[in-house]
Amino acid sequence: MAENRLNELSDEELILEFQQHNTVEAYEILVSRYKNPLINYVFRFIGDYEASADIVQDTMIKVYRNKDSYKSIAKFSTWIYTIAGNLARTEYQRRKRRRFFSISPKGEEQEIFEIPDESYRPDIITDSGIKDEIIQKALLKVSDAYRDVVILRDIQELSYEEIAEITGIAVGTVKSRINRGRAQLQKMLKDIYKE
Amino acid sequence: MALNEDEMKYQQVIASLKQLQKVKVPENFELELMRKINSGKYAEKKRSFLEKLFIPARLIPSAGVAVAAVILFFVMNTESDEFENPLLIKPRIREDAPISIQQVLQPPAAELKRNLIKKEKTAAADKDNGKKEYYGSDLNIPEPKGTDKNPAPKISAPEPLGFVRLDSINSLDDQLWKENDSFFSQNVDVPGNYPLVRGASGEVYQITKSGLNYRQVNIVEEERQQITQLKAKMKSLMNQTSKALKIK
Repeated sequence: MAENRLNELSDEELILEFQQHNTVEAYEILVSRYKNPLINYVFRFIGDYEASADIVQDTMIKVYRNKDSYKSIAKFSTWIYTIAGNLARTEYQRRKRRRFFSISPKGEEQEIFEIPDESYRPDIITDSGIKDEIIQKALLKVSDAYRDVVILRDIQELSYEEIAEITGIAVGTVKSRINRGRAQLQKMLKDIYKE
Repeated sequence: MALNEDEMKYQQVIASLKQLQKVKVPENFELELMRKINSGKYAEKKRSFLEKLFIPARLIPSAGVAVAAVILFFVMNTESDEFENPLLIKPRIREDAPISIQQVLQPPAAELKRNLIKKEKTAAADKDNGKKEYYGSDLNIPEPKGTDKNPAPKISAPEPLGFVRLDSINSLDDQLWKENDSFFSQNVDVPGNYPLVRGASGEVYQITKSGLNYRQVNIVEEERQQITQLKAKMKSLMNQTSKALKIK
């Protein structure tokens, strides 16, 4: 009965409930609401499923531990995307450095698509898997700053204002970066569109 | 409007991205998450003061400063010992390049040339004016003593370094100069008692210490006695010579 009542609450009300009364159920509802959108965002950004799952878990743990640092002036979605985005960028930079200093003969692409649990691999589920893989590879070749905003806009379908808040840049810059990212993608995917 | 145009331009890309399959978390995601939260693995550790002090992020800048200070110390130290301002170094005395007194007394060629031009100009002006006296003119050329027979003025050379021209020395006994080509006598009554030198055009100079780059030599007592003996010997010889000349 109480859980039903909590399900009707908005994100901001749930986090407030969790802050004030330490209601773990409210936290669990938030986790269930954001776990999939966040892993989708993080996976499209770094291209590694297992690492993405870890990042989303870390994000949720940070929310749990630092619930009091959330201020109700911002949207909860903005706050949680900011945390996940920061962790994803840190992980991406760490991997880039590791690849740069690595003496392993393993190529970049082999490392990126290591997904042990095949039931969740997005690239082998349907016939469109190959196309998905090509798009994902192209997406990973887009500049970091452009890729982030393109994912948030065209995959996560967030508003420009929300993206501006998450990334900490002006709305105009967000728009121009999205267009530049799209242009880069279009150039890389021109062979697909010809078919 | 412009934004819609942009979206139209990249319509295919946007559609492709929207059609990408949605990725989902593993089945045991929430269980794993709650296990991590409850295990305390992610509980924040409390660090002691010493641990905080030796955090690598804090050590790196201070270590950098220390290394820079050490390098700077060595650089400055090596330079400070051997550094010598070249402008303050005393000039080395060249003993391998002898210079004759004649050479020293020779007035510079440019000076001579300038004086000759002046002389010619003055002579031309005198010719025009007729009565104007050559000496004592605005050129300030002093009239030489006893030059009635020889009206041509002497070109006065500039005094070379370490020499003082003595105009009054003309009355000296020329014999001294004839006997010894270059100079000097301590018997001559000259102020300062320094050696005398006659220049190429007949002027007499006294050699002074000022301006000379001479070298001081410290001698032992024995050497000093030898020099004194030699001086006395020389003095007696000179006395004998001057007496003999007077008798003649």
